[in-house]
Amino acid sequence: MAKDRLALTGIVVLIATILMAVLAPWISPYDPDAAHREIGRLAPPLTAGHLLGTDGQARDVLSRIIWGSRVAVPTAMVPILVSSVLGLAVGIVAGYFRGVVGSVVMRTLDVVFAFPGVLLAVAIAAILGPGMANAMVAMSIVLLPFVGRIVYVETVEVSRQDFIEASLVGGMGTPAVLVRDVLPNVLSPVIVFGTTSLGAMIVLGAGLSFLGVGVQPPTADWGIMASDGRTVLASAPWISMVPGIVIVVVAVACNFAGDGVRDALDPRQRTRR
Amino acid sequence: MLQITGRRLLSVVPILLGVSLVAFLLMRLVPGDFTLVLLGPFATEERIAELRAFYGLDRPLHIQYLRWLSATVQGDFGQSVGYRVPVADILWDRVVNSLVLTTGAALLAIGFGAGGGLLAALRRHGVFDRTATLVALVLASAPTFWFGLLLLYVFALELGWFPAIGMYTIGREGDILDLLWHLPLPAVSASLISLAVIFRLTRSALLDVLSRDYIRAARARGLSEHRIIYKHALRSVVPPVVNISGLQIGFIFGSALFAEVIFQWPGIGLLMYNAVLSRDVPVIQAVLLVIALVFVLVNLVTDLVIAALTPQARS
Amino acid sequence: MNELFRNGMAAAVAFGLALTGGIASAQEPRHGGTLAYGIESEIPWMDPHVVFGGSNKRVVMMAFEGLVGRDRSDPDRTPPLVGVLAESWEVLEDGRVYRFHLRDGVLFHDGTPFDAEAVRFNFRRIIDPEFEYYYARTEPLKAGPLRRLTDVRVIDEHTVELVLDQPWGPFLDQLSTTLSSGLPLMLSPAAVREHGNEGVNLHPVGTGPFEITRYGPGISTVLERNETYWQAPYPYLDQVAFVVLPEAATRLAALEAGSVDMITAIPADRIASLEDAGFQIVMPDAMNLVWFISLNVAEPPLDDPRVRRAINYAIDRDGIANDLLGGTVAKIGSMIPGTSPLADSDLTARYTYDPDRARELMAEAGHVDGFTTTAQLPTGGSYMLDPVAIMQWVQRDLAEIGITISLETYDWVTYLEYWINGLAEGVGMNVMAWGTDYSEWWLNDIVLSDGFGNTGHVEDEAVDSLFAEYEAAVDPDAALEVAHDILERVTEQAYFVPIASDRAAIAAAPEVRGLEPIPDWMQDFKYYWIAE
Repeated sequence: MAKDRLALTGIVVLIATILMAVLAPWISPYDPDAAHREIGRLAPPLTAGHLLGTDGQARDVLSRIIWGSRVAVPTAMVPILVSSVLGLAVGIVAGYFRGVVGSVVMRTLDVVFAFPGVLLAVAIAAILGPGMANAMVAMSIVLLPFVGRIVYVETVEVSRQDFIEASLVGGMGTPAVLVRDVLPNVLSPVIVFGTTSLGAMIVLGAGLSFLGVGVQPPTADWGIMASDGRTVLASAPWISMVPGIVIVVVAVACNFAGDGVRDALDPRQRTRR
Repeated sequence: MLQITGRRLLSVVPILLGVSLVAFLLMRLVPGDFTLVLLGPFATEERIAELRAFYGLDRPLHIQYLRWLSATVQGDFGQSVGYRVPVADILWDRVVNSLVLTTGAALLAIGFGAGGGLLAALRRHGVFDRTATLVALVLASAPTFWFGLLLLYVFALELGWFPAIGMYTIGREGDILDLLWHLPLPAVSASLISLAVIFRLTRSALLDVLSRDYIRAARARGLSEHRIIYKHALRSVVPPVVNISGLQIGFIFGSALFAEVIFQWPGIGLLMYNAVLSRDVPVIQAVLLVIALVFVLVNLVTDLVIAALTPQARS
Repeated sequence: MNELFRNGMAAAVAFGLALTGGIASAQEPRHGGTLAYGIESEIPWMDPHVVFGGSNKRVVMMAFEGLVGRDRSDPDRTPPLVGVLAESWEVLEDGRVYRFHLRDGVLFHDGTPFDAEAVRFNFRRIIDPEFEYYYARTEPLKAGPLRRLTDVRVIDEHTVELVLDQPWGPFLDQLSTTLSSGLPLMLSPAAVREHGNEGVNLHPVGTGPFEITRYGPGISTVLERNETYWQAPYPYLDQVAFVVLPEAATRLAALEAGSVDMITAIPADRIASLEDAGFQIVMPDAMNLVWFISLNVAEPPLDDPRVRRAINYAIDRDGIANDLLGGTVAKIGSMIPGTSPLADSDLTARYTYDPDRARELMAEAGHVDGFTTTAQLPTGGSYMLDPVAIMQWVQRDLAEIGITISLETYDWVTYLEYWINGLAEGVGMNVMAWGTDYSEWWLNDIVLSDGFGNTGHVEDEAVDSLFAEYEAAVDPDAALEVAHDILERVTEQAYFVPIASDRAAIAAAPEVRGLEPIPDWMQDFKYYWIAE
């Protein structure tokens, strides 16, 4: 089926990207920060020895793309993990106890929801000061209400079921019930959400760097590379376009892979194609 | 309907209060003494004292919040650090400019997204369906800034069909034709992701409806395909499409930030971007508040429209 | 119309085009037109006494004038000091009193006359806390260029005396400064009275060739021709629009797509391609700017002058200026900008690129195996060129002599917070670009023991006492001699690593005329005009 092939392709590209990040020091043809004065600045792609050319400081673009995955992959994954853990915690507590606790938690998440994600991330990253760690904090905050709401809905459903009652009657403490009975049953939608948002997070991370509130130069990063290329857009458009295409390819691959994971874990949400 | 409207309006109030609290507290997230961040390292003692007094930094936190809130609801957002004028003096023009851009982008996204989605679903597996579905898959994943740069390069720098920056040519401010010439590039780049998302949802919603039992039954009863689609199918596709479109308008505000930065569109996104670079916190706060307000209102209107369209949702 | 005639017409038209295009400068300046200039930062200040930031001053300098100024019509290495609102002056009482004879018939944009009372009003606003319109925010101007001014005496309607507490050599140069925070330019007293000290920032009224008529924060500031300007036939332009485009990328796109006619602060990469595309590039050979590295002389290993000299020998300044930055900057080997009369002295050639000499010095100082230190730098900032690229180059050059530096980059605002506090323990270097006026006085801020920009913790009694001597010298030639001694000491001790001086390229559409390469950032728009 075409859909499985797409998911497979996505997973392959995603694994390749992760491998690229892990193996960067060994597979990168050059030091990403080294200037190749003999080649010169802004060499076009397919220059001998520099498959993707050189940038405005005569650095090898391919090497910078490869090292850039070391920024892109963690800046996308860490916020997903952080927001998943926090979202599970608040969502389960709110969904299980409901009442005042539940509404306070959920109304708080609603407030975060009231800001468009990109703008909130930019504002938080800007106020904390630019940098990779602060960008990840900002992205985690943006994701949190989504996870929290998903977990809340699932928990409400799960906690109505008989086996919870059975565990409680059987003498299990509430914390144990939450961890042993509720958590496993609400985990799969969180995993689905996490994998399907990976692509969007790669784009958001690159966007924050593009705006100058994410990772700071001279770190090799796809968003910064695209932003650096803006000044030479008229004379050397490939400087911006190459990292842009890499972002698109990886993000599309993430979405294919994410759809595949969703279909495997959550048949209810199967999309029609 | 009136009752629903009232109830929804009331439910918006606590959210807006929460939003204002977030915007207020964001300022306290600034590491170190935030008056120093606002004024820069060369600030005089006198200016620091002045600013501390303005924000009432010597008072307890809740008093500070209430003072700030009461000023804010009266339209006083404080003084911009970078522009040396009250934030309110610059904010509203920028909001209008952004609304022009987002309206243009939203019309494109909803028009082409929903229209294309319907067309693709009706001609399922046709050439248009296959191509459009594939293109939408890619578009939905691509960064706005990349589209922006691509459009800027091709249509402004290479072909010269559209201007590269701004909302008006200098000296032609207020000229609608000039505005319409400046609008397409930023509006298209701000709209593309949402267009793709709306396209995909509309298409699958219509396919979903067409496979439902009552449509099958209608077909079995021998109703014409034309009638089935226009009378039954389309009607049930409208609510989800309205819903996703409402959500996407909020998203377009985010995309518009990138479009405004790349095309130097003098909207609220560009204002925020420059404020971010100069850490002009009062401006960042004001922009966040206004955008959240617009976002909440758009969601409210979306809810009400859906409620009006689907009687069962009213309960 | 016969064939021959048509061809003849075409030839004539072509010839005419060749004339106007090819020998453009032969065309007479003409009045009229709007010049849109893409400026690189925000323009929040219009009150000249508090204006801050180089690009903002470019706007203010077009609407306001001082008693004296620099003539930028015929650019030379040092624009001559000339009378502007003062026609002439005398220096009295051994340099304690300056008597100015004011130009007759000059009007402010609001129609009120410029006279001795207006001069007194302006200076009292800055220096006299007893004055009704004293404005505390002008403190940096009072503490800087006007630090010795104690009194302003009106002699008659067109004569005024500025009285100093003691003779002070740099005074006239400082009255023409374009670099202090706040400029000593003349603001209409009527406007201050009407709008108040704070309000006048949005209602700026001066005597300059242009009048600020519209302020669109973050978008553009528009200036219109002053119809009653005293210096006919200037200005030529009807209107100058300063379009705020903080990002180099948008400035370039705006120029290339024709949305603006002129831009400054152009990335080095783009000079050649803009020239190829038919834009004019105007660049002076040297400017009054120094881009330098400060060394932390308070702690080892940089407390050893031999190590500091080694660093100065190890850096390939030619490579930075011509290879990395494509000739958009001029290399400098001493803390002397190319605009200074001292630029021809032996000091500028003291440290040439000589890695072997550098290694010898390192060995002499006992650092055969080299050492490790940290450099702090911003990712960008006013006049900072491309600090990251430059410091990466420096990093590579220093690695050659065994010095490993790790680079800590910050955004400009955060960076300034570090910078103003001076180099911390364990941090060996930071970078700064400093503008100077046309005297050597600027050095005091960065080398005097109590200089606010002395981030490397230089404490040198020889320098301190030479500076006292310099300031007391009213005769310019005597002052220059002392300045040479100061710079000799600073160069010999190698407190700094000067790298380059920006050349501030201007790129403009072909029809913009009257552009001349000037050695500072104060483009004078009254000389510019637009060809038909």
